[in-house]
Amino acid sequence: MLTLRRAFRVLWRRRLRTLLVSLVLALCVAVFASTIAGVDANEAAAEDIVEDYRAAAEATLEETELWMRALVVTGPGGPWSPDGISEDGVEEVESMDDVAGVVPMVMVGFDDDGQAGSGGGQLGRGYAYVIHGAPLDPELNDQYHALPVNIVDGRNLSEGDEYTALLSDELVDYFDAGVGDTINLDGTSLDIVGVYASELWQRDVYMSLSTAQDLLGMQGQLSMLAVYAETQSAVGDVVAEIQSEYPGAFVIALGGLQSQLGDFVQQQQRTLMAGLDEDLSAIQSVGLRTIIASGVIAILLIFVVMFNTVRARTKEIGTFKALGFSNGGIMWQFLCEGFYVGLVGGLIGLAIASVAASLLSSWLLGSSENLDISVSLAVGPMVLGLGLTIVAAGLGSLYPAWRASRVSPMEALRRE
Amino acid sequence: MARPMLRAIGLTKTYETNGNRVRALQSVNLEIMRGDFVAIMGPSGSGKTTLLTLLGCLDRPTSGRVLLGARGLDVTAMPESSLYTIRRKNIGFIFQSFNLIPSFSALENVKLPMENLIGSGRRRRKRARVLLRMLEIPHRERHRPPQLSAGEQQRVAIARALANGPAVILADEPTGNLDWETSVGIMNMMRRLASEQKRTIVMVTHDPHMAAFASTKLYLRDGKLSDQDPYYSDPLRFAAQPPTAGQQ
Repeated sequence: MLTLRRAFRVLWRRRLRTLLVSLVLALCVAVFASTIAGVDANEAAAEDIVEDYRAAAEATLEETELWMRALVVTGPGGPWSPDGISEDGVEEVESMDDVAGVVPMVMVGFDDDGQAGSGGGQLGRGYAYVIHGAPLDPELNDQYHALPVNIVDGRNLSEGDEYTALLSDELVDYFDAGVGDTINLDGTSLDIVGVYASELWQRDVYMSLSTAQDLLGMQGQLSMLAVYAETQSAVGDVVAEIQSEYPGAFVIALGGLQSQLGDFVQQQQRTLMAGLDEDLSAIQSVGLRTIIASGVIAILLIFVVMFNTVRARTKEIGTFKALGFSNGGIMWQFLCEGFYVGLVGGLIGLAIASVAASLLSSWLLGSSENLDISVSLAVGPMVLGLGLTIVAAGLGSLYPAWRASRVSPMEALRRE
Repeated sequence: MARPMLRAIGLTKTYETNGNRVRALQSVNLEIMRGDFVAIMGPSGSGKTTLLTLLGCLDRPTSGRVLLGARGLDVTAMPESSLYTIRRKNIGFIFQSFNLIPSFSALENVKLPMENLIGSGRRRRKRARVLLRMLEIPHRERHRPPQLSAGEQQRVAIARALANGPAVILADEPTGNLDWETSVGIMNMMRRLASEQKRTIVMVTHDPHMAAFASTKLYLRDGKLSDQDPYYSDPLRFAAQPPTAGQQ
């Protein structure tokens, strides 16, 4: 304790010099801690991106597998046309061989004047909105995703909902309505219970099948059936069977299109991962070099300062020995002085890093176009920064302190 | 019969420098009683400081022994790890260039040797103040050495030497950097310490005027100790002598 106080007193009396040394050390610590924080932030951002993309890719691939078994059956007017097919056909198609499931739908597109379309455009493009009636059977929806899954506001439709609707986010401005509002379509009021994120410019207003049939005057009729074969290889047989049963219907197998989409998604994922890996490797490499360099500089700095201190105070050391201080006591004094310099430098460095970590790390590590990072000094880099301080103080002071303890009092006292 | 406070028996010190052997002390025998104020005189390079460092356990002799205290503790046989305690408790040093710690105040310099011997900070402070008062510089306790005059610094050094109440005080040219008036004041103080407090004082000096304050004068020349030295009675004869092997 006395040695700690004595060491503090010595440094306090030389506080300007101590502060200057500490400031240089502080820069090393700030660089060290900021680099760690920067590398951590980059790694976290990369992980987030990979995770998000993986989740999206998994969902897409899941969908792809489903759509590889899917085919669409519509009336002669095609989907989005009021010329539908009879609802009676649902049970018949369900009972066919190799059919796993059937999802009946009503889909009619409308232009800005409220006129129903016939056929017209891929995926409803060209229509102002599409009335989309779907079954609210939860089992059917779980398996075949008849309703949107990415609800961004409110809730999804659920079994029992009547005269309620889901709006695409593309239609919120069009109808000037959101969750809790009511829209009027062709004289029918619908309460908006949710908004979904559209994919591929969807402008569908989802509602229950019966609500859509009432609204459109299509009771007992459907726009299309989404039919799912048991296996991909059975799709052809199912198509043939439906065509033979319903010669006037259009039957389209979706497998080919979805296969291409699945391949594309996988390719994109590989490209993204490769890009991220490259960016991250570069950042980690620069980061590691910076961390090592700042650590080595910190140790060397304290070593040089303490070494020169011991040389400059040789006579003082001789006096201490003459006064009865042991070699161990003298060594401990200089270790304490080194520790204090390190501690002050470390604390100042961490204070600098807490404010400037983002700036320092982007300057040191550069930035990646693929990564949107937010750097802040978390507990980990702070603890490591403080650890560097203690290690630098200990290692840097060790040899000079040992040298001090070995000073011959007689030779030291002879010095002028 | 009283036993000597400090004894040197056959003390020899030889240095080897660049292959040359220099005999700084040759079979020095010395007995100093309690309360003695001994001045050891000699020209530069005669081995005075070497003798003082051996008596103060700051160095080891090539041969011979140093016995400290009335019980005759053989300090030359003790390990290095024990000598610092011996120095702290029993020996006070006064140096020509004062050797105060520049970053410590006068009070802190005087307190320094008391660490690990006097546990209470308050007691250390109190004792240090008593000593500074005794040395007639209580008003300078907060000042650091660069702020003190040479005489004041030497008084602080004397107070520091007395910090642990040592039986022996070793002074190496204590007035070497002082003016005449201050030197006389310091010498009077040291004489009082010997006569009134029964401190055993060994002072090395080349100044016969300062040596006159001591009760006993010894002469060191070429590493040999004697109680007579004709050279000091004839400065011209001394000046005509070429440097001998013992002088550096």
